[in-house]
This record gives sequence, structure tokens and C-alpha cells, in this order.
Amino acid sequence: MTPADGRLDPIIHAQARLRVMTTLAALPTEDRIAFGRLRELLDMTPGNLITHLRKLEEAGYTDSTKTGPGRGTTYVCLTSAGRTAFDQYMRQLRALLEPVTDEGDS
Amino acid sequence: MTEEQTSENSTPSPAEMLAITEQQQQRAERALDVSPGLLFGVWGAAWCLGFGELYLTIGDDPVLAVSLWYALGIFFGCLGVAGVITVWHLASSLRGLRGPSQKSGAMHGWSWMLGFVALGAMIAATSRLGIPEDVYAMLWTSGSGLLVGVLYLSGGALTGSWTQYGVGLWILAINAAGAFTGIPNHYLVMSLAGGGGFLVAGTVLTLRDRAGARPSPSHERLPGEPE
Repeated sequence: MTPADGRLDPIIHAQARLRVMTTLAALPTEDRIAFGRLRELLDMTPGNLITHLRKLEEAGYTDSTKTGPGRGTTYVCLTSAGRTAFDQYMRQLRALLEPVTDEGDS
Repeated sequence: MTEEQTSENSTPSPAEMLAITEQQQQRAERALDVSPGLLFGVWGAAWCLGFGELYLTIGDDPVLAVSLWYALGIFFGCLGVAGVITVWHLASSLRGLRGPSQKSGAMHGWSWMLGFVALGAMIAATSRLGIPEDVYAMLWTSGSGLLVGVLYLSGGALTGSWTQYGVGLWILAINAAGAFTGIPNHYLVMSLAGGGGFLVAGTVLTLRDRAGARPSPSHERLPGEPE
């Protein structure tokens, strides 16, 4: 799913999904976050977040598990493929901006 | 904060996308990360005030004449406030999270609790042999210092944090040296050097945090809390 030709990954390259990926990437590897807390951190409506998570999950970038009886709580995490894709996206994004923001680091 | 209902078709420029991700990363880290600077600050203040108050109220010729129970009440009050703030901070930043780092954090947190329960049992058993009050006080003070120092050493070792490891070394050193000054002088050592040491560590971490507020892929995470 990761385009190697320098094209930005279309799965991540949308404002809402980039914010979801960024938030999940802020967690230590393999840690999960409850759907409700994730939604709070993003200020998204449940329906909106579900839609974007579905798309990310179809791409294999995120993984959801349900715990507890009944409705339970859904916990979401970044898969290792998702983390790789996110890191690559960020590298590409920075590379695109290099001539403008090249001020020592990156 | 205005929520832009951006559809997935809208794609801002790369610069805007970078700004969006940096902003969101900052927001997520601020909400999710345990702040070691805050915790060191809170416990530093508690030790400064608590042990300082014990020094002033306990001994043959106390500066402030209050009953022992009153003095101990204030001391545990200081620790209690720090404990409540710690639990509140951990609960609000770790809410809704689970996984390997949460598990090891919880295990580390429990090792503080279990260590102090075991220390209490050991001192209770020793006091049955009939020990004078200042020996009892010394066992509690230097025993707690030893436990705190060792737990910081192991916490620092496991997270690769030199700050935590350094705090552990410092507490062990001042506790071992301070014990030779006896009671109540050891209280003063624990207040100024111990509590002061925490405050210095807290200030260093807070300043470093501010200076390095730029996004970085790896950030230091503390499992568990100082207690």
C-alpha cells in the first residue's frame, strides 16, 4: 500500500486520517487507545472517526479490538505496517518541504 | 477550536499537512504523556515541607512545640496531597490506554506500593524487639530513603533515563550520609537535599521539555510514579 515512487500515500494524505495516524503514532508501539479517548483527542464525531478508521483498517494500518461483554470498549492501535507507512509519509512530506524549511535539521 | 469537517477529498498543501500533524502530535503528547517534571516537583515540595516540618517539631529541643501526632499528621498530609496529585495525573493521562507500556508502568507503580508495605512490616517486626523512639524514626526515614533510591535506580535502568538513575544515586547517597547525623538532623537532610534534589530534577526536566517541544519520534516515558 505504500507508494515507493515518491507519491504521498493517499490513505494517509487526508487531513482527518493524518490526524488519526499522528495521534496513534504518539502512543508507544503496541499500546492501544480506547475509541472514546481517541475521539476526544481528535474532536471528531463518532461516525466520522469510524469512517476514517475503517479506511485505515482496510489498508492494514490500524487494528481494532473489542473487549468486555455486550457493547464493550473498542481499543485501536497502529499496526507495524501502519507505523512504517506513517514514518515514510512524514519523511516524504518533510522531503517535499526541504528547500523551504531546510534550516539545519530534519 | 473550529472543527473543519474536511472531507477526504480535500488535501491541503504539504506545508499545511505538516503543520496539522505537528499540532496534533503536540496535542496528543500533552494529553497522553506522564510529566516527570510535574511529579518530581510535587514530591520535591512534599519532602521539603514534610521532612522540614518534622525537623522543626521533633527532637529534644524543637523549634516548634507541637505534639508528635500533630507533627506526623502534617507530614503524612504532605505526602498524601502529593499522592493524590500523582494518582490524579496518572489517571487522567493514562485513561483509556492499554498495552505493554501500560502494563509495565502498572507493575512499576505496584512495586512502590509493595516495597513500602514490606518496609512497614519489617519495621513493625523490629519494633517488637523493643527499640527506642528515635531508632524507630531512623528506620522509617532511612529505610524509605533506601527504597526510594533503589526504585529510581531500577526505573532509570529500565527506561534508559539518566535523570531518574541520577536521582536514585543522589537519594541513596544523601540518605546514607544523612543517617549518620541522627534524628532529627536526618529530617533536615531529607528535606533540603532529598526534596531539593527532586525539585532540581523537576526543574531540569521541565526546562528540557520546553526547549525540546519540537516533535521527536522517541520521547522519554516514565513507567510508574514516584511515591
